[in-house]
Order: sequence, then structure tokens, then C-alpha cells
Amino acid sequence: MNRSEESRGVRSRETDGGAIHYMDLRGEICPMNWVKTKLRLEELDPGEPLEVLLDEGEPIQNVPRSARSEGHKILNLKREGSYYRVLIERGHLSHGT
Amino acid sequence: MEIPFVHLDNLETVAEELDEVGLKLGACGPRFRVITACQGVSICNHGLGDTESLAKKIDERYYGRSGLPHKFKVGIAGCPNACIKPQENDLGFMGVAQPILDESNGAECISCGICEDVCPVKAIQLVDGKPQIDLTRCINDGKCINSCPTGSLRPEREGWTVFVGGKFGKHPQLGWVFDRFVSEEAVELVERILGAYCRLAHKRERLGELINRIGLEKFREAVQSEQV
Ligand code: SF4
Ligand code: SF4
Repeated sequence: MNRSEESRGVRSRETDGGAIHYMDLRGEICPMNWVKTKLRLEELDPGEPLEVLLDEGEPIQNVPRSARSEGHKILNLKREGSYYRVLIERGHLSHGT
Repeated sequence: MEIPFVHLDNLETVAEELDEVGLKLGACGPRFRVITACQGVSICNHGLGDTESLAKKIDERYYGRSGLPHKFKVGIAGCPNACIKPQENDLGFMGVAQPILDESNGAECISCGICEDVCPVKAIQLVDGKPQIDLTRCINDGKCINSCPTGSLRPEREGWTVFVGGKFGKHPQLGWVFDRFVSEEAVELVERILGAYCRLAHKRERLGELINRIGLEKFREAVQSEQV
């Protein structure tokens, strides 16, 4: 592990407990991984966390960015081998549900 | 688009009909040729520069202009992927962005390392959980800015890298970097470069050949002293 690897994830934020919703999106291709994430987020209440697993490459570069641009917040994002564990907080914008 | 076998007698009719659907005849010979541009930021995910609006401005002012020493081509690319090959044109523009970490406005970096992973030239390293950017390596493609999930990276400088003197054909050569992070002044720069080119080039000499002959520094001086 080099210096940069050690340095990752040190500033992750904790959530205030409560159930964490979860989805394993490994093997899911773009843009389906984002579509599924988006639909799931819309079922949650603002402030609720959703944890997703995403593959490296395109998925990890696209899904968190899309979530942010739709008003959700990325609380944590950590590499675990060839995939990433991402914690997203449902934003306060309504999506017309 | 090329329409072959139009008889000279029909040229006027064809031009009129094209005009009705909003198309103009292309320019050939020693003139300002049609400007080529990629989609840029309005459509492409990688886009950094607004290629469409720059292309429109240059097109309105210069397209078809005659009285040049030789043909003059302009290519405008939205980012360093350079899909439209700005380095192969007499004058090329390429959208660029130089990143900086900015955690104001609550955009706190979570030390995820995505920026480090996406950088194509390894210009970023996380040090104590924060990205350190080596600007001597950075090629300003803005990938880190576009991929950061918390919005902690923003462009500190943006605009166009300007290339001059590129060309293809029998003796291809890539353009030189003339300037970096040009923004508002882009159209004025076209005027100056065109002015210096017309003033200094021999007949049938491309911009690249002129610069080969007098050197980039001389050309740069000529452009700067050009009155607009
Ligand atoms: S991508 Fe953004 S949040 Fe992640 S380490 Fe880089 S600057 Fe920090
Ligand atoms: S702009 Fe591109 S080259 Fe520069 S640091 Fe970011 S990803 Fe790397």
C-alpha cells in the first residue's frame, strides 16, 4: 500500500445510525447502475443513506457524480479491491414522486 | 458535404435552392474555410469549452473571407481529447481547465481518491487525504473536476489553448502552442493572427510555412503589434 492508498477514506463522515439501505451494483453497466440508484434514492426520505457497491472504471466515475448533480450527497466512497463502496445521502430536492 | 457533377449553367439555381434551406456554398481556394468544431460542453460529457458559440462568432466574422495568402482552416475542440484535431489546423482552439481543491461552499473532500484514479497523467496524489496536484504534469483535461463526487475540485483557470500553424496534406505538421487559457480575447486573437499572417506571408504560403520561415517568436511579436 503506498502513501496515497493509506491516505484514502480518512475523512469519511459517519451517519446518525438508522437502517442503511443497500444495493450491490457490481456487474451492472452504465447507465443501468445509475437508473437503479436513482429509483432507489427516490423511494427514500430526505437525509436517509443508501449504500451501493460499484465497479471501478466508468461506474465509479459516473454514478456518484450523477447523484451529486441531482442534489444527493456523497458521504463516503472507499475502494475495496476492484470495486467501491459508496454511501449516498438522499437529497432534499423532490423528484416528483 | 460535396455535390458532384453540377453543371456550370445550373450553379446559380443550385445556390439559390441551397439558400432556401439555409445552406451556403463552401469556400475553396485561398480563403477562410469552413470552421470545424466538436459538440463541446453542451452535449459531450468531456467537454470543457463552448465550441458552438466560439465557432459561430468566428464563422460570422470570417467565413469565406478572401484575399488571404493561402487557405486558412480553423478547428475547435472542446477538450484535450482533441477529437476535431485542432493541432492540424492553421488555427486551433482546445478547451482546457486547470483544477484546484476548493472546499468552500460545503464541498468537503472525502478522500475517496477518484481524482487520483481518473487522472490520465498521474498528476494527482492524495497526501494526508487531500489531492495534491502537480501542475507541471497536468494536461488540463478537467477529468478530475468532472469526476469528483463531492464537487471539491473546481477550475482555477479555464479557456482555450491556441495552436497556430498546423496543417495536413503532403507535408503535414502539428501546430505550435501560441497561448493558453485564452477566453474573452479569442475572437480578437483571430483578427490579430489573421492580420499578421496576411502582412507577412508570401503568396501561397500557409501559416505553418510562414512560421517555419520566420520562427514562432517573430510571429508572436508580429501578432502582438497588430492593431485591431
Ligand atoms: S475526487 Fe474529490 S472528494 Fe475524492 S479525493 Fe479527489 S477531491 Fe477529494
Ligand atoms: S485536469 Fe486532467 S490531467 Fe490535470 S490533474 Fe485533473 S485529471 Fe489530471
